[in-house]
Amino acid sequence: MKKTRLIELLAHIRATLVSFLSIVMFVALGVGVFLGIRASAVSLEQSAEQLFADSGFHGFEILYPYGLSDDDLAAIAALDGVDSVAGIYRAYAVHSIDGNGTTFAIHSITDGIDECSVVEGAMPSRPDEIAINSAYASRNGIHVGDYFEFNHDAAEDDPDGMAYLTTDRFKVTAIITSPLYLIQVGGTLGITSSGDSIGGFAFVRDAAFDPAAFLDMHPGALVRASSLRGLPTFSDGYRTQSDELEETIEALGEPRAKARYDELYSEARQKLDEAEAQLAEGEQLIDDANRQIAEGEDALERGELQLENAIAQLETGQATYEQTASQGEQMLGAMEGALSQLQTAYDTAKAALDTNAARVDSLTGEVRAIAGEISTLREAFDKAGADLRELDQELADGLITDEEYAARRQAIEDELNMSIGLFNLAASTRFPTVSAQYPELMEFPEVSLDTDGWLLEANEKLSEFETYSTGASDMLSTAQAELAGVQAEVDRLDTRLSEGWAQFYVARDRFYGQLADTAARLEEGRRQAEEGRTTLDEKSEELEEGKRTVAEKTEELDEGRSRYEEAKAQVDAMVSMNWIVNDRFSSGGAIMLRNVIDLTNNLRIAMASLFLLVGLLVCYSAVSRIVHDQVTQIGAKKALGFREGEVTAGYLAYTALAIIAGVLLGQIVSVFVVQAILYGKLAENFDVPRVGPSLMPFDTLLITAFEMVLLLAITWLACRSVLKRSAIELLAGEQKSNSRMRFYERWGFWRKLPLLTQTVINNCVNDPRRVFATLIGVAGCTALVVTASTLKNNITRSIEGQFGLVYDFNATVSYDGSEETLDRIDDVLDAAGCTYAPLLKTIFLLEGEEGVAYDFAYVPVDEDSFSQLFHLNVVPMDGEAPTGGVWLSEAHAEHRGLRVGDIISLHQVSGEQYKLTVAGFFSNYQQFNAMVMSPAYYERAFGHPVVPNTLIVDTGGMSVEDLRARLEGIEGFTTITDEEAAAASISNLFSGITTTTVIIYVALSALMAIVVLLNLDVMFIDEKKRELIVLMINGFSVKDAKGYIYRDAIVMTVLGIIAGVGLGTVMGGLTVGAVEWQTCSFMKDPDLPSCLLGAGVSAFFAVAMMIVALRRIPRFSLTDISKF
Amino acid sequence: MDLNSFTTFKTLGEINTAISQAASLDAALKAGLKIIRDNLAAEMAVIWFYDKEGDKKLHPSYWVAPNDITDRVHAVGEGAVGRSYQNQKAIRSLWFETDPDVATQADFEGIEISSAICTPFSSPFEDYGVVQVVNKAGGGRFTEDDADVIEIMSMLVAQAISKNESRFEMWEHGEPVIELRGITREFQNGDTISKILRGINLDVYEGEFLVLLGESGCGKSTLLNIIGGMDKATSGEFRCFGQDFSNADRDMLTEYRRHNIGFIFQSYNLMPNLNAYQNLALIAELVDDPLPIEDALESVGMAEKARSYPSRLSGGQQQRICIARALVKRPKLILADEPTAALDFTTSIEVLTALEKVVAGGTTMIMVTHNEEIARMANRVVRLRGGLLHEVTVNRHPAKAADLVW
Repeated sequence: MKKTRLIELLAHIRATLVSFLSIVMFVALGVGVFLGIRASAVSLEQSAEQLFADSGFHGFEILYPYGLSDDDLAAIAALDGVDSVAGIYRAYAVHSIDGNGTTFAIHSITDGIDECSVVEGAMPSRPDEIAINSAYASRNGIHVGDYFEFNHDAAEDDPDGMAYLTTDRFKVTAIITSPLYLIQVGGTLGITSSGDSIGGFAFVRDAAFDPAAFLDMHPGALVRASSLRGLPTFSDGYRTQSDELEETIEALGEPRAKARYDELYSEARQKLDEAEAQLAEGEQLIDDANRQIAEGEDALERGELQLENAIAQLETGQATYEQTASQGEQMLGAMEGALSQLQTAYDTAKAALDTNAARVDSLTGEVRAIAGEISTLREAFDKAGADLRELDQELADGLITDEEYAARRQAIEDELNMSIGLFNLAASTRFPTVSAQYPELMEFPEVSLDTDGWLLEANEKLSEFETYSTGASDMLSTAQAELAGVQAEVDRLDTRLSEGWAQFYVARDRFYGQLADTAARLEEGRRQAEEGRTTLDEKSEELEEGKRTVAEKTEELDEGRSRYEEAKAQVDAMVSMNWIVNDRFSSGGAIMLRNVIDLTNNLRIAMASLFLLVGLLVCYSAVSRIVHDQVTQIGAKKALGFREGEVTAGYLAYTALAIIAGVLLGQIVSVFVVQAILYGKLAENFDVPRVGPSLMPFDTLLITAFEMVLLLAITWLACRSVLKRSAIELLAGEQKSNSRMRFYERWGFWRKLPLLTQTVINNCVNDPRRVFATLIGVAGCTALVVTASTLKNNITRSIEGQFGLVYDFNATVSYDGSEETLDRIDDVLDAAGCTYAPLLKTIFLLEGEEGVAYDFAYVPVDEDSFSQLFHLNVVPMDGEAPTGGVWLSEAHAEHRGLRVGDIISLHQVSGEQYKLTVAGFFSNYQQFNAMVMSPAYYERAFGHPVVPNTLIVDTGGMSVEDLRARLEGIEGFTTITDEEAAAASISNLFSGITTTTVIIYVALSALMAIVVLLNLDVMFIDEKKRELIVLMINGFSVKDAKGYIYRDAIVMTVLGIIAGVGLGTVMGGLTVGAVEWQTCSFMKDPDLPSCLLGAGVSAFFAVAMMIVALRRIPRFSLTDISKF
Repeated sequence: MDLNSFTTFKTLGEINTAISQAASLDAALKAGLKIIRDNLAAEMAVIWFYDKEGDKKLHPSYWVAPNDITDRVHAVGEGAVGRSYQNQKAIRSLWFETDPDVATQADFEGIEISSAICTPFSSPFEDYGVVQVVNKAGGGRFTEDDADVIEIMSMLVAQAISKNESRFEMWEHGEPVIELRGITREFQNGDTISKILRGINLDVYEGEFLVLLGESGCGKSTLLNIIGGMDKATSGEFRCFGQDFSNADRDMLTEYRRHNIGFIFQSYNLMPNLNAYQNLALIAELVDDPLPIEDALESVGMAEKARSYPSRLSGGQQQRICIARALVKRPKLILADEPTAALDFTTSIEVLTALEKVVAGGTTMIMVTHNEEIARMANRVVRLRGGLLHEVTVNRHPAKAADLVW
């Protein structure tokens, strides 16, 4: 480039620094995010690579249910490209702490391959020593030196359980981490072959496993490949080499697997024949025993009959005895009653005798008292008469005055009445019997001396009383006569009573003597009956024992028959299968690691696409604006002889410089921002060593070239419309508007619109470039936020949406598959108010061109209860629906290209193989493949009815831990899995990435608002400066002038937001689709909260930028009008 | 008095007044011819001067016609013009087709002539030349009365000429640099086609200072753009230094501009981000043998402002930088579009002085301007009207910039 043009370019950059920086920033962000995400993925790969190298991570894992022999291992080791081979054992067992069981995967230690990292202690050297994973150990306070015991009982019936270990009690010698279990987040570490969630892992020596349980073979082997050494695990080269070696191993395994199968099959057939013979012999023995039992039962029945007769006789004698005793007792009672009555009569007569004697004595006294009292009263009367007469004399003699007379007369009268009172008192107290007979005697009337003849009346009265005294004497005589009669009766009764009692005592003694004799005879009969009973019971017990023995033997025989049938079915179902050869991404942690790396890489492309798109828009907008600003300069240059290409080259150089600066800045963003945040977030999920930041030179060149091509192309496009114009047009300056009448201006309603509205519309129509740029700015801001938020929300919604949309259960309870256990668990669940559905949950290996994938199969027992808890939301797919088949999760169809009606090949971990028809697909947002089939189809496809081993449970508000506490201790209960917690751990894994994305995108949106919108707003205001000044000169206020601008901005903000929401929704859906991995699908539908968030954020930014820009208007000088 | 007589007397009265007020012979002739054109509805008119010091032939000094007859000459006695001069007698070809004159037809090539009058004008001391009037508007023909008026006008002018005025120098032009033949330019706006240029015939000569005048929309800027290679004619022939650019493509025109043309813009169009020196350097780098930038700046008196940015310079200074920029690549032709329109008088004179120096240095210059006073500086003044050459004046006495007043 010529010197002056370079100077001009630099000067140009200086003059348009904001635009230049906007391009630089977006390139920097695009490059930074692209490289940062890519570098984070690469760093994670390097972390994994380092771990793989340090631990001697296996290249392949070979599994073969029929077992790998030492010869097989040696043959594998001899293959070209194979470095070393180690046979492995693996078993699962439950370890419980405080009733909470955790399923452990127990691995055999393979020296030199998949070596564990020892956190504390030393790896086991003895069969009874164990190394425990550090997360479980630290969570439960397990240390080196502790003893670690698995639940023997719980796993006893589990074919994968303790039967495979020589002991259930180990001494912890090491706390470890293992490359097989990379993932650090909570939740499951993997799944067992029966579908249980693995919560811990342990490593023991080979000797801790019972070789016999593994048919003296290894169920699997680990292979280290020299041909893969030095190849990055995540490279295409590795994959190619790995695939080739995998094919070689499979080719080696094919004849060996066939031979092993034939051997096993033959052996199994032979054992089946032997078992059948043993079963027939046992059935014969059972029949003999049953015959003997029948005879014993007959004899026992006869003895029982005899005993019953004897007991009946005894009962009759007892009844007679009891009746006689009762009657005798009654008779004795009657005699005793009659004697008592006689005694009562005697007592009555005796009491009457005593009463009469006392009455006679009392009457005698009273008669005497009455005579005495009457005599005393008579003396009182006599004395009073004498005193009265003496008084009258004294009065007549005048010895006393009238008053003294009267006083003394009164005293006589009072004394007389006092004597009468004393008599009345005596009458009422001293002779009550008489007074009762003669009540009138009891009240002698008072006398008044003023009454004439008082003394006569008193004497008459007194005489009357004396008559009463005579009557009392008569009464006494009568009483004495009655007393004599009573005495005679008493004597008679006394005689009869004595005779009666003597007869009673004689009769009583005789009766009780007879009764005692009868009781003794009855007792003897009872004793004899008891002896008979005991004898019979002993015989009966002997018979029952015999029956029990026969029943046990029969049950054993049935069980043997059942096992024979089961074994026969298994043998019948045995298929010749090849070794299952998995590459190093067969463990849960490695799969998750690869998925996260894939996700991150996909996110890189998705995010970079958006950044690039925004960068392109910004670049186009910026360059377009610059070019239009410089249109006359370009015209001048062209007029002065510059070629179009030379002028264009200036702008291309401008963009190229911005790209170079952006790339350099992007490296800084990548290393210090994106990698620092994202790699940290990613790596913390895995147990891998940390590595330093990566500069990614190749990717830098790639993205730089990509940015160069696209941005230079967009720059050329932005320039093209201007540069292709002739110099004359350019020198004429930018045509701001077209004076032609717009079609809508002919419409009637247009004229009715307010002038300002018309102006706003015409401003937009006449300056489409500014409108376009502003719409891009607002739409870009909106789209960025909507995209990021949609990514975050849809992934979160998908994972959480599994619960409600697909699952209406939150826990899975697994058990031993027996009906008794199911009943016991049902009882607990019913009592806890849970809703549940029993089903068979098992795991299959799905074969296909893309390799082998694991699938959880759900087969409900009762489709109605299942459908209440597990919603099969059918996803429409191509193909004709068959009448029956298996429903697969949507991810299968998408990633495996399956169609309805296709036949898929499944085999169980134990080797059986099945062909199933695809009936359809359903939405599934869990991180694993799932399939559902009806019980009828299952029975048809598998040849036997469904035996449930799992319950899906809606705990109905009860915590899973509480339910676990209720289920613990139930015989046959295995585990309970908190499905929501497991999903939450996955959600957390995503959350780190998506939240970082949202933050970056919102920041980018803000940056875009500042760089683009503010710039456009300021430019628009500057363009309209002349009009605004004219308005203000003519009397419009600053507010009016602002309104002239912001009305336009509001319209474009709204339009931009609408466009941005649409764009963001589309980009969000694409981004979500890009980060899906093979086993899951995410919702890609529009997310309303994201749209609202995007609209809100953009509206906020747009308004904020407009407010900032509008601050220019008050600063306009109206005198500037002369400068235009 | 009939109407014709009245018109004749009125016209003669007006001519008399105009001539008496004219400052020069040229002005008197132009004023008289204008009145004749207006009153007699003449379409074309030419004033031919006899070059007694030079080739002894009649040369056009002023004409109203769509043709460029600058290079046309008539020997004495040749054609109607030569014969009229020789005989000092008017030649009235009121019915031209009955007595066609080949020389006249050559003068107005491409135009059908229906009526023509040639009248000599002379003083008692000297025969100056011939006034030629051709065709009456609307396809009419001149009358004898019309011819009388023209003759009287010639006499009146001749009588008014002083001896000093009769000594003029004929303009001696160089070789044609630009040749335009039948140039048209149409613009389509929707269904409407605007004919901006309707057939321009014009030559521009080496070292000439040509001014294009005309009202807005007459096509002068369009013509300048075509000459500058920024626009292409719809039809016609455009040659520069003998090379035909009529059908040149964009790249050819760019190369044409790059190596031949210097532009001076009304609004300067300097690169605002470059200082004065850099603005020149930017252009100097386009050519192999540029003028030293310092010299270019010095030539316009702006050496001291070499490091100044355009925003720090006045309008006049910017325009001088613009002139220097035009000069720096040693162009064969400088085109100036209203270079002083945005400047005040003093500054304009500064700029015109700078341009004067450029022209004096031998550079051909075409300037578009509205300013009639500036046209006095030109060797030729071409006035356009309605997309056609309307009037051409050859300045026998170009003014100095310093003498201009407006």
